[in-house]
Amino acid sequence: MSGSTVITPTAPPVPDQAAAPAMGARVWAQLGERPRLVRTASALSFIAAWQVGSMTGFLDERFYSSPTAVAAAGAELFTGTDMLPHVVTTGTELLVGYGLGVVAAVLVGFVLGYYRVIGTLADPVVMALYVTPRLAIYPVLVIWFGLGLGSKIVMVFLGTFFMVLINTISGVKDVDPSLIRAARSFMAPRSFILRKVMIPGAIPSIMTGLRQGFSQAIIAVITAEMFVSLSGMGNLISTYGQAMRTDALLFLVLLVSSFAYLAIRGLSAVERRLSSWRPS
Amino acid sequence: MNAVLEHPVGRALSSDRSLKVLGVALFFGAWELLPWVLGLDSFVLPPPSVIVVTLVNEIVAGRVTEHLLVTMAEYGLALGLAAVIGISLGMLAGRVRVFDYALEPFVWFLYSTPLTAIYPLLILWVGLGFNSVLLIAFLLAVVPVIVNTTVGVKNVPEPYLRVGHSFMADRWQLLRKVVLPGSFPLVLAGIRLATGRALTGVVIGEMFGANAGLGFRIAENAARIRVPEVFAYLLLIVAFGVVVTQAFGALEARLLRYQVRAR
Repeated sequence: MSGSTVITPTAPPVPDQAAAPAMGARVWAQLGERPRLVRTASALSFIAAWQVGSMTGFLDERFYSSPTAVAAAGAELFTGTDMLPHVVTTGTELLVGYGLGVVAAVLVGFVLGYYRVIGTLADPVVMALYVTPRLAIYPVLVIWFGLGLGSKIVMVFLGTFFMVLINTISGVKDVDPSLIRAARSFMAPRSFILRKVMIPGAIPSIMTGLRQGFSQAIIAVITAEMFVSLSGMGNLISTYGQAMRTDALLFLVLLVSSFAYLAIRGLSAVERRLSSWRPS
Repeated sequence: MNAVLEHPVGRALSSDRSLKVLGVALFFGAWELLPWVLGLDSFVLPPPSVIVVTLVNEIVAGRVTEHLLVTMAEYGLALGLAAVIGISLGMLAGRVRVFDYALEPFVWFLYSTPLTAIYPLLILWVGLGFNSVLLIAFLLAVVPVIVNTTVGVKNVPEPYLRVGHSFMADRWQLLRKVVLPGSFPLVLAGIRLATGRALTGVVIGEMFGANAGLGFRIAENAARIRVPEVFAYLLLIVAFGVVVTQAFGALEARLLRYQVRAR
């Protein structure tokens, strides 16, 4: 979606537009060259409209809060010590579940992608579990693993696992067969082919999986905590929700989504770096 | 590998379909044996046979149909709305660059926020039940439709548009006859992503704040620690997801047949 390569479908001048007032058209055309400006203006005008709406009473502050109230709630949460244990809980669940999920998925993915027979055997089950909302199994996980960290770690693991698995399998399968044949014809041993051909070939796709898996992991941890938990950001969100503290709730939502946004951006930067060697 | 393929059994196994059937059979077989091997009671880990019997009992007792219909209605509406609104916004963003940029912050927000986190707010705004389930499923589903349609419209080759202009196509004709068909494959791919996200939205919404639907039945039975019932409804949801995905895949292949022919 980069600005420079975008085709401008409106470029060919249509006769009736040529006669349009030049001033407005020129400003409009210039805005088309300033993505950052337009984005910022758009987000700011949304916030301004929200603020004005709540100040004039058009938006009920109990239901919709207001930007200033959200900021105040944020300051309160950050200066207090209430939030820290929740951050620690969620962070632990996220890291452990995600880490285990990635390792397991990459290992299983290589096996399923490399051995055609095993891959085909597992395919329908993997696809069925991939397309179903896996969060629906969370109530069972609570029964099995309890209210605490265990059930969330398993939930995060599942969310991560299938995303990374699907991408690893397709990455391994899509490794150019002529590269493997070339390595074989030079009598390369299996371990060499794995290290020098399969792994580098599958890495871009695995990275895509890591990124998509992380966003699944965040959704999984927050949703699971909101459903049943003892502590964590999701727990805090649902506590504020029940207390109708819209301001604090919205602040926490913004905090979580900024974190998710930055993490995903970071992972896609790594992704681009690791796949920059391939000819496009 | 080749030696295996020449063997008759190997040849039978190399057919993808029979392998897949075997895979499903192995999966359920292993699951059937697992509780028995581990000595687990069926209210801890019910084997598939118990789950199927439970599901049949639920259906016979008339506890499924009504909830399945609610889930289907919510799902269909959410997906339909996401398709219509997503395609419209995407078309606009693809054609008008300023609108594209203005929309971006909101799309980013919807993409990176775990939307369940705003579910308490949605309930506050539109009430518990059908409306809030519909809204969260819609919000989840609409994002990939917008993004894919925008990219699809931007990628319509410029010569096509010029040809349209040369034949004096007006704006509406250009949109309907050139832009829409040109971006069709990507639009469909967006809707395919939306089919999964809408189902997630519906089920989560029902689990959190509803009094009907398959997700509600999961939460309700889980609260009473009725594990076989929970698995019975999970099985239904998996089946729902698989049917929808397969149906959409078939529809997509049919709608895109013209492309294959054109090549």
